Amino acid sequence: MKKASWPLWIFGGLVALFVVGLMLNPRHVPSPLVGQMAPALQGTDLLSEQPIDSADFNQAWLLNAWASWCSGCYLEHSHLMELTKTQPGLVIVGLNYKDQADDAKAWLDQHGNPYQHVIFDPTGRIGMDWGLIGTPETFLIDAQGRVVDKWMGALTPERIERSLLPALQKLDAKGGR
Amino acid sequence: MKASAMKAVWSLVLLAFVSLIPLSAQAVIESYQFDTAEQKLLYQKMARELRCVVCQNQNILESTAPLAQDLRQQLYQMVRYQNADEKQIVDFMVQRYGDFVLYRPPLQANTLILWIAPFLLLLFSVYWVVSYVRQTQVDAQKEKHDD
Repeated sequence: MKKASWPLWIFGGLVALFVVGLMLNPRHVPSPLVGQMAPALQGTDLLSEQPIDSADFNQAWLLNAWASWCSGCYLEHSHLMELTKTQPGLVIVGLNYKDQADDAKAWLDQHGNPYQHVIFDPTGRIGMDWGLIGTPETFLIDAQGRVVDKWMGALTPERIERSLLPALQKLDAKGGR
Repeated sequence: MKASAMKAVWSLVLLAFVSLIPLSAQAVIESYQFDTAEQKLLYQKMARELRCVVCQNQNILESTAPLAQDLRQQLYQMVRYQNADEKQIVDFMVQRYGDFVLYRPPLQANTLILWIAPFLLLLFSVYWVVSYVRQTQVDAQKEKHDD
């Protein structure tokens, strides 16, 4: 009797594995960029039309991919504006993804501009180099140019409090700012 | 009279079903031109094997998502103008979107269990069936002796 029960254990183990698998969020796709050197970010500023190169930043920065057509971006926008006040030293760079220049400028006029630079990416080719799946997406890059973390979807006060600010503090401690 | 009415109903049902068929085959809109048949084959093969990361249960060939469209365009550029081979295309995609973009996961340390589990299970089941059959034979013989 005892001998015959081990297939049952294997079956039980498989069921447990599948239950855990089913409870994972399939939308959570880990970015292969986290921990790697960030791709070079070169483009044109939406507002000043000057060339921008991330190699010139020399400090930690946030890259926030957004578009005027993106409702999640509107949701997180006030929290980004808040960040400019609570984290005055933090460089926030916008990646204006698959947008019309006029729409994007009007959107920033209306809702405020939290970005020091806004890189205009109408075709989404720059976004592709960053493995962008949708907007909004936010990356934290340290002073050495390494991607520290990535947040998919809108930043909420909870995510900022629990994840983004601790990541910044960690950078401060390591001298990565 | 009744038979012909039935026939009409069935023709209508058939027509309804037939009219559903094209819906599933309209996903791909662009028509790309290639220099060689190999390029075309490589494009089609890769488009079938790359997962659309937005609409996760479709490959980029079938998906109508804007990102899938961009990735098809990128794939086309790489195949036709950059003369990229399969490995270069896979590397490009994995570097950006991770292993998740591949419908056929690569054989590596963290996917080893995925690849060998079916064979292990098969081995275990065969072993179990054989030992079970043997055990019942022994039991049956025992019973015979007991009789």
